[in-house]
Amino acid sequence: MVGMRTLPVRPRPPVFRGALHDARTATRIGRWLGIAFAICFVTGLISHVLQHPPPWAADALPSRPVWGYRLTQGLHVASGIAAVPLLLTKLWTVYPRLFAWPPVRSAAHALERLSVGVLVAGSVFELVTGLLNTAQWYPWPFSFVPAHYAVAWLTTGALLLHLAVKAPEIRAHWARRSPGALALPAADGPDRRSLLAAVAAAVGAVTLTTAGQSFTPLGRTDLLAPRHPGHGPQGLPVNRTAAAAGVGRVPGASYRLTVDGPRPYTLTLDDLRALPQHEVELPIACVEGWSKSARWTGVRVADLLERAGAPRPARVRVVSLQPRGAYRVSELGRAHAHDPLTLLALRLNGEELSPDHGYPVRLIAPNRPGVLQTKWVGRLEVL
Amino acid sequence: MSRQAEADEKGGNTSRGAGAGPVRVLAGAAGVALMGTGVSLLLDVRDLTGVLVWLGAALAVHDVLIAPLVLLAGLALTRVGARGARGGVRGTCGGVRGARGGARGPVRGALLVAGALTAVALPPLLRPGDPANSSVLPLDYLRNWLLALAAVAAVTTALIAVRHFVRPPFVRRRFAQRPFVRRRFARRPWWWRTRAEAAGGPPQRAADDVSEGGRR
Repeated sequence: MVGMRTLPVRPRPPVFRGALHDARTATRIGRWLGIAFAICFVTGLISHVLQHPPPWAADALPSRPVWGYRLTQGLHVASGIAAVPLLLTKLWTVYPRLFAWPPVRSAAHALERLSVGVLVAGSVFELVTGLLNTAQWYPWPFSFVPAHYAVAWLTTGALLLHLAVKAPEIRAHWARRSPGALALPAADGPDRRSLLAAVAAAVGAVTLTTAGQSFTPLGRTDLLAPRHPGHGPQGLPVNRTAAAAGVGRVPGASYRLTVDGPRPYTLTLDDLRALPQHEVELPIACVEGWSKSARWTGVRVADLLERAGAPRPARVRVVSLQPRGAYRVSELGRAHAHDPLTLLALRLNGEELSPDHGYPVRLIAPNRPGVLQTKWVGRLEVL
Repeated sequence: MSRQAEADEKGGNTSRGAGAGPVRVLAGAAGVALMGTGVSLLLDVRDLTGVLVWLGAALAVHDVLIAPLVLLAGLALTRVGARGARGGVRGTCGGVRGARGGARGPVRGALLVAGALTAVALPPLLRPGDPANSSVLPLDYLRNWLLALAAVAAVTTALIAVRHFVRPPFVRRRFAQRPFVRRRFARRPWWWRTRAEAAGGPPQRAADDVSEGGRR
């Protein structure tokens, strides 16, 4: 019986002697990471509502500012990328806590550790799936959007719970002169600042090398982003080509646009060209984070609706010539349908649209996700 | 036991016995509610098992693979730094972990930045198959990734060189003795402080480095 105690079978947690695995470091990196995650969650919700408007929001979606979706979705992807070094360093700082001894002190402690597990799993999951989605790489069996959306709620909830649980510790280490921060070894101060400077440099580096895909002035330093503002037909990136959509090159001579309303009518391409043309500067902003502004020329949707005797305000369904695909049909809310900037565009940057940009006619509207800027438009229906 | 745990025992940790204010309780309840929303949304996802497997794998890959590798890299960096300090020749700033800031911080920073850049570059670098069209993944990512790493190495080298061999050019010997200069450098900026000073030792004037006629 006495010999039992000397048997070296008791599991021992590993020992971490290194510096900076402390609450002050965790608080400082956690603040930045929290801001990045908050931006990701809010901009993600905005994108979700714009892409799948619930009935109560369908008519309330604003068409201004014109760069709204470009900004929010660019921020979504940029803050997600910035969160990569922040999350890795944050987890490095708190890693020794994974081996807290004893592993479970009470039921509440067990639940708290479980929620931290959910937080870590969800955070890594969101950043990995989001990053792979921007590269259009889908190695998983599930559908990206619903999974990324559901886990965003799960992770944000776990984060809020984590903040509530850790509130006293965060408060004790919030400022340099907070009591908890003062209790830490003073010699770690310069080391911590050096680490934080390195984390800031990492955030700056990944932002500088990717933000150019949505922030065109940084196009020259866009080294690692999946898109580049200069690459694509007519100098504008494309997600779905005419070939991929099964449209090919629509013959201009046989093309007809049908406008369905109280006074329905049909127009040929020449009829459309003969109508008053308007030129607008609007961005294409993709859910994958890239965006680029361009000059579009075409006919105002509001003018076409007026000619069809559509009541004001009216909602409009835009139907593409493409035979299949989730975004064959899109809807314009009231604000978008009557916005003078909303065009059925015939020309891009002074040239006729290329097939990949929607020849002969495409929709372009302000503050709207790229997938809803329907290409190869064949029909407008007043709802 | 980690140093944080030791600090907790010294009284730095106030979580035990602290009252749970209403804001804290509300935040926690909101967190649980959001998690509930997430779970109910997850139940609607078609391949729930796939999502759960990927969630578990995310946790396991980080905790079992990535974090230990990063810790090992940090340990290696510390060991190399310590050896450099012992073997350092006088006047060459004592190796990697030597005086005046040392190179450990910049080298650690370089590894962190390079690691972050690599993580972001991995999807374009490794994605199998042809992209959907020529505007998806249009760049030479291998070249760009190496270019970014080279830039990190260059900036780090320059930073170490500057911190080791260059003093503020205006701090000349006689100039440094003037009262306003001595006042300005009465305390070094944090990035120029020695470990002894940082640990709470007596402040050493930066200007003394110069007036004594040599680097420490």
